[in-house]
Order: sequence, then structure tokens, then C-alpha cells
Amino acid sequence: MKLASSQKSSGFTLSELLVTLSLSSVILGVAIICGISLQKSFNATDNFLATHIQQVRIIDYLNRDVKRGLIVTTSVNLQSVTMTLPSYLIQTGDTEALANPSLVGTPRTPTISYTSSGWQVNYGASTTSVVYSINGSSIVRIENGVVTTIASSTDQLVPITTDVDLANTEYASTSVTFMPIFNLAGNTADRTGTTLYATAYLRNKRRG
Amino acid sequence: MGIFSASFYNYQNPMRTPPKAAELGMTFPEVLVAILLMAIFSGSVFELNAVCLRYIDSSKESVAALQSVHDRAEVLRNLSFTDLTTAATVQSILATAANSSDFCKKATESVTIGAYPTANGTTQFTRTPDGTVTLNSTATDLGTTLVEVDVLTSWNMLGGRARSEQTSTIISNGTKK
Repeated sequence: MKLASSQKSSGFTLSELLVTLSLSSVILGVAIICGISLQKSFNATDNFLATHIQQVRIIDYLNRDVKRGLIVTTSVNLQSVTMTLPSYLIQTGDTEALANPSLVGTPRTPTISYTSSGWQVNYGASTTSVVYSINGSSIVRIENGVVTTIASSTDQLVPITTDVDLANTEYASTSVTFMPIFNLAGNTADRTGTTLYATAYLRNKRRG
Repeated sequence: MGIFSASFYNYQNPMRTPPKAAELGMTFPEVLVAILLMAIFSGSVFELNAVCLRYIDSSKESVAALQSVHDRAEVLRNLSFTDLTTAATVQSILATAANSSDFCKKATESVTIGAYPTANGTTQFTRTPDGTVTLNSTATDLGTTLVEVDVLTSWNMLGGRARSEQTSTIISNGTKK
């Protein structure tokens, strides 16, 4: 009875090695592509949510100012909003401050008067100007010349605001969109899918 | 024994020469295990990607719901007290969606108005996604000074999980401007 030939003497043939290497390469390639794709997917998700939060921040800022405003006007392309706000705080140079300098920075006491269109609340003659606009890839808020960047993203954030005048009030409808990382050649549909809507009414009587 | 039996393992004679490597194919269980491993790997990749997409979808819906209830509260808050306490007026206003979002086209909205701080019955409306507004109940008395307005929006996530968002606000009678 002859012993079986040793396994050590039976190696792989060249064709076996080639097939194994080919298969290994394909599997490794697929694994690497999957890994990269997952990384891209994670980055896109992270980026999407980060920009989504910026949308919320723009809406919050804008609505807060609209609610405080006396007049809200939008530019022709609806991407710039100008608001006139009462000066709720006493500032240097105001009548109250001249009489008592320690009142600077404190809330102004409003007065109520009757007009032809009903009662209205007044906060003095001085007002504050606030402008929201797009500056490059940022959305900025300018209050009396002081610029504050409230959102900054490379995802082309675009707020569109429409102001609608009513009898004695006004409301501003805002939609904010952006272009996510994964898009089909910048199609409008990609931007539409990111739209966030919000509406805010003036708390003051409309003055303009 | 002949050539035919040489390709099989001989249990009666284990010392027999094993088949050459070139003759060894993959057994059926080996193929099944390989397919199973590949399926698990591929499934994991797809599932991870799907989780990312669901996460985005869920986040978008949550924020849209929040904006929806805020927008509805804004409209109701701006009504005169007489209009706010008149069921027909509120029912008419609710026919219009809270905003233009796609979310409002799939959410059910419920608005409840009651006197504050002590309710004497509540007036409740339900708005279905198709815009139909139903008056579910009418308050015995909403008073003349303060009302509490609750706005609830509810919807089903992808996969059927029920979700909701709610806000409450107290609205007073009198000049608000």
C-alpha cells in the first residue's frame, strides 16, 4: 500500500494564483470603494444636517427681527430684507439719556396713543435699521452698520423673503434653500428638496 | 476501482491518494458560506447608507413640523379675539395649509382652543392632509380675556412610525399693536 503524496509537494498552479489574485483584487477594490462611498455618504449627511441647522438659524434671526419690526421691505430679487425696528433700549444721545445718563442701555417705557387706524404702541422717535442680505457664501445681518454673519456655508444658502401688507399689520414668508453635496448637476429639484418655510407677523402696528 | 471512484473520498481506504488540488472544486456549503458573507457585507453597506438617508429625512421632517406649528400659531395669534373665538372663522383659516412645504401635505393638524386659565370645554378642529377641516367639539364658553391655543401636527415617518409636534400659546384680547 502506497502512502498518499504529501500536501507540501502540491502547491498552487500559476493559473490558480492568477485567479485568486484577480478575485482578491476585485474584492479588495469593492471593499475600498464601499468604504470611500460610506465616508462620502457620512460626510454628505453631516454636511446636510449642519447646513440644515444654519437654515433654522437664519429663520430664527429673521423672524425675531420681523416680529419686532415696524416696517419690513424686501428687494426685487427677494434675497435682501430691510427692517425698521423701534429703539427698544435707551441709547446715548436720546432725550431720556440726556436727562439721566444712567438710563443708557435700559428698556424704554412705551406709550400708547390713538391714531386714525386705532391704538398703537410707541417706542420713541428713533429707530434701528436692520438689513439681511447675502454676502458671498454668507448670510449677514447689518444693524446700524454693524455686520454680523449669522450663517456661512459653501452650500449656497439662499433665503427668499416675501412681505405681505395687511390692514394694520404685515407678515413675512421666508423660504431658505441650499444645494447639498450630492446633487444632479445643480438641478433645481436638488435645491427644492431642501426648502425650509417660515412665517412671522409684526407684533407692532405696521408703519409703512 | 477504476477512474470513476478516484474522484471520491474512499472511506474504506483512507490511505488512498487524495485528489489533486486541480481536481478540487468548491463544495456547495463553501459556496453558500461565501455568498452569505458577501450578502452580509453588501447588506451592511446598503443599510448604513439607508440609515444616513433616513436620518436626514427624519431631521427634515422634525424641523418642518416645528416650523409648521409655529406658522399656524403665528396666524392664529394675529387674529382678532372675536375671530379667534368664532369657530367658523378658525375653521375657514385652517383650510389653508400652515405653509407651502411638502410636509404640510402629509401631516394631520389639530387645533384646540380653550379659555385660560380655566377651560369651559374646548373648541377643537382637525385638518387632514387633503385640507378637509372638521370641527370636533365646541367650547361651552371661551371667555373674553384669554385663551390657550394648542397646535398639534402628527404624521407617519417612512416605515410607519407615528410622530407628532406640538406647541401651546396663550393669546389675550385687546390691542396687540
